[in-house]
Amino acid sequence: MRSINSIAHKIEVISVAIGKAGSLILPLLILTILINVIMRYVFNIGLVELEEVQWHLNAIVVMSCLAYTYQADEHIRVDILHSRFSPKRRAWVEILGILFLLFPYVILVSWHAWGIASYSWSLREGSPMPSGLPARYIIKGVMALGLSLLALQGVAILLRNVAFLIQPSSVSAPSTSVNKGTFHE
Amino acid sequence: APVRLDIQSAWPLTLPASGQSAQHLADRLKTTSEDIKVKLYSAGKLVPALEIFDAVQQGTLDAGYTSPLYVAGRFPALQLFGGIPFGPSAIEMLDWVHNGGGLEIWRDIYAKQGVVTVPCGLMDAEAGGWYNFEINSIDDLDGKKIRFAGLAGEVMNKAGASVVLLGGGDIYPNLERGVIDGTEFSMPAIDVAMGFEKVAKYYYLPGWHQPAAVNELIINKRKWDSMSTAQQGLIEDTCRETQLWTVTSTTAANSDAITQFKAAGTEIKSFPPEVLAEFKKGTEEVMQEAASKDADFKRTLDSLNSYREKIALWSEYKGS
Amino acid sequence: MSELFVFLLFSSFMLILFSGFPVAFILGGVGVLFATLGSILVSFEIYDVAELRTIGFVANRTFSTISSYSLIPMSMFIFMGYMLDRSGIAERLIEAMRRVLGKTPGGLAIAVVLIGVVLAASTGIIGASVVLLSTIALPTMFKAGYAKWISAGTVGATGCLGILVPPSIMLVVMGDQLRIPVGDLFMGAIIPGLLLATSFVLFIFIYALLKPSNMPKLVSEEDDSISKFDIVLDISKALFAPLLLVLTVLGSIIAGIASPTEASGIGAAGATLLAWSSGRLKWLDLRIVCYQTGRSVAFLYALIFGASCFSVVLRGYGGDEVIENALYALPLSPEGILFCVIFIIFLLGFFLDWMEIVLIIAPLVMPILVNFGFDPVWVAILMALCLQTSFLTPPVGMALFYIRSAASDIGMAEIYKGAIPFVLLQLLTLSIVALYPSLVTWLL
Ligand code: NA
Ligand code: NA
Repeated sequence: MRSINSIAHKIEVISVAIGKAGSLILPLLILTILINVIMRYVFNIGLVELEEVQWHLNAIVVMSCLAYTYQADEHIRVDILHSRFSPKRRAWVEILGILFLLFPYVILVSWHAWGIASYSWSLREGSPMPSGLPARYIIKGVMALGLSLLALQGVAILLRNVAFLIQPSSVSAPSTSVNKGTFHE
Repeated sequence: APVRLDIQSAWPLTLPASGQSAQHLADRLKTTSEDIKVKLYSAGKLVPALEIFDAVQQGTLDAGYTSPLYVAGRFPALQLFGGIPFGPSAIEMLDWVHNGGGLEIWRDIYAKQGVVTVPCGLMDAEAGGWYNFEINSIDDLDGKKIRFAGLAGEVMNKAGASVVLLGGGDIYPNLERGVIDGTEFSMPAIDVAMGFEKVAKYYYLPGWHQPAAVNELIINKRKWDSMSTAQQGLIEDTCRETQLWTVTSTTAANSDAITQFKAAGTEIKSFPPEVLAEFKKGTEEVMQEAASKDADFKRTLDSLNSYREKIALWSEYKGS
Repeated sequence: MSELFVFLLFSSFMLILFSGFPVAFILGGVGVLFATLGSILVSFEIYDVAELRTIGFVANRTFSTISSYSLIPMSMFIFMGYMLDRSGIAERLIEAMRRVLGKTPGGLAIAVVLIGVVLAASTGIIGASVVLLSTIALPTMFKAGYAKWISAGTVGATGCLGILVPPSIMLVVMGDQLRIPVGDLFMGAIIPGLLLATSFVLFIFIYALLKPSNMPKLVSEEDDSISKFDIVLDISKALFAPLLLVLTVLGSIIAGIASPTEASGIGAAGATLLAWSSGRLKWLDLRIVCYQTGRSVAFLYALIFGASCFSVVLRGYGGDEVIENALYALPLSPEGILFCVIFIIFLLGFFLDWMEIVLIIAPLVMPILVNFGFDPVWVAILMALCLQTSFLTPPVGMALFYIRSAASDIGMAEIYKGAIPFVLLQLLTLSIVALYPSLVTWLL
């Protein structure tokens, strides 16, 4: 049990670290928008690159936080019945949901996303705007990575719920849900 | 054997010239063939316009009706088929693509990707754009915010304008509120649907940046190879017919649209020769830069230039 | 045949929804399961289905979503909301308002609505404003002897105003999905939003006159010793900064100085400056605001990704045509069909969140309604008004859940009861805007 939980824990350390690091890009995004505004309205310079940088940064925030958000159990649920389920039943919901909904969806889409990213890499694809950013494969790679990380986080939550079903006492703090990680600020 | 062909258009199927051509192609194929079962999807129904190529390349989508401009980030050379500043007229464009070696290069670039292209829609000249200021000299463009795409956008940048990136739906409100001072869009028959005459004072004609353009039907190579020669031939012939249909579908509509703009109080203007000369100089620089960065671009540009040299005398003497 | 599968697709989603598994993954998962079913059906020569290869589109669409420039304001407005939350503005406002309105019938509740409008105009996240109002206003209201149910209703409905009053992430997502300029939606929503808030104030005032026992006036304590001038000064000080921010962000969009993305970035920077100048912003706070924003943004995008998977599979099964044919087959005038659509959205709002409705239903019905000649901005605002109710209608009403999570000493039954008058007011406002489209189009 301990080893199952420790594998889950290791995965979650990665999810949280990447999510937190990614979300710290937000101030940089705000700064980029400010610079863009100042350039345009004060100096009359419009840079396509700078506008593309904005959505690149935003995309990194989004993709790096997908798994982190699942770890923090903040993906929206309809919890009208869920909140009344017994912990055991909730664990079953999570296990079945991960196996039959999350995995088929996220693994299939990230498989396609890796295809798109590696094809983009093989072409050394850039922006369709001549003065846009080069190396579009990087951001496509970020998309594939973010989705894969979400699948991995799914593995972690699956493991924790399985461990809970086998041995309920293996969840350290009884007040927190099995799905909720232990990394809250 | 009968073949099923899912096609998605890059434009709404009701949009004159581009989207309507996709509809025309599908309708013709339905009438003339019983063993090609076409299912046509409108813009964005399955996949966003910029991602059509990837979907066809991966085989997720059988075919796409799109513009080679949309793959400029992947294959810069193909911009030369999707509209060339100071480029050939529509008929010359057709001649270069089909008889002057253009299509060979085009198909060669796609061959390595597992995608087959069939030129499938000939677009007449675009307009020079909508502006809220007069362009009497190149200095008038200095610091102006203009929405302009592709190679021509680079030329505008060199001319001193600040080029802005905007999606189709955002152009109108930004022009209305003065966030941008001008925009290039399309030909009058298409511009009329956008209502720009309500928010811009001047309409510049003709469009130096795109005298002609070709749309394409791209088909996944495996799908293409699974078809019989007769089926492939029928698609190619129908596309040739679609070229003719497209280029003749907007002539009267363009005229009508201009009448409508005039009635709405739009001032129709043309760029002064000095300004055009500057644009032309800028275009040459932009072309040289693009050619030096990409071998395929250079190869395509060389083919186009040698074709234009070959027909130079006739172009000159026939008048236009 | 198509009708059957479309029905199955929707009903499986609705059923599995109640398992409590994350909605985003249910949307995506159900999409993939039906694509798998489609691949099996095709081998039996049953066509017009989505196949497994259809899921390839989902990756393309996901990339298109994260590369959308027009969705950036969503992240920025969320950041702005969490930052304002940190700045302590709301606490100062409620203290100042309590002094001014304490002796008016229903004064405390009216103060909550007015603060709600200020919060709504400075941010676009309802979760934060409902929780904020619940934690700071509910205890004050209970202590003053306000009935629990009406207090909860006021806080819940007021907290939702932020999703209608611009800036609003719902309008940003609508603009992106329906290809309507976000600036137009923002302007169109201003008058309906204020109208809705006015209806809340009038209702509270009248109700307080009729039933003073449920909304007693404040018994004055220390307040008499403070001069009117001091009170006005207090309120002005509390209002100055947030109003300045609101005017900068909305003003620059409306005046055509900045695009929504630019304005949202300025707003996020302004809120940070505000929090910093109030002396409350520490390095740790900035980090926590980033983490919170990152998680909120991620769950919203995850819903967009999932809904996009569901939608593309729905299309493969001919969902577009099924719904189009069903609507056209109604023996009704265009106005009648519009009424039906709004009514269906109202019903769906009992079970679904605004995101699912905006992402799946709105793109299906919008082209049909625009085809009838209705103004797209007006239709979108009607939908937005209708979606306001979805936060307050059981069993799935996000605002109700937020109240319960933030206030421990109130039962779910009382929260449900409190929502009823406000849902009726929302429907009343919806009808007024439906009858007078110029309320939306006048500012455009
Ligand atoms: Na708002
Ligand atoms: Na509801």
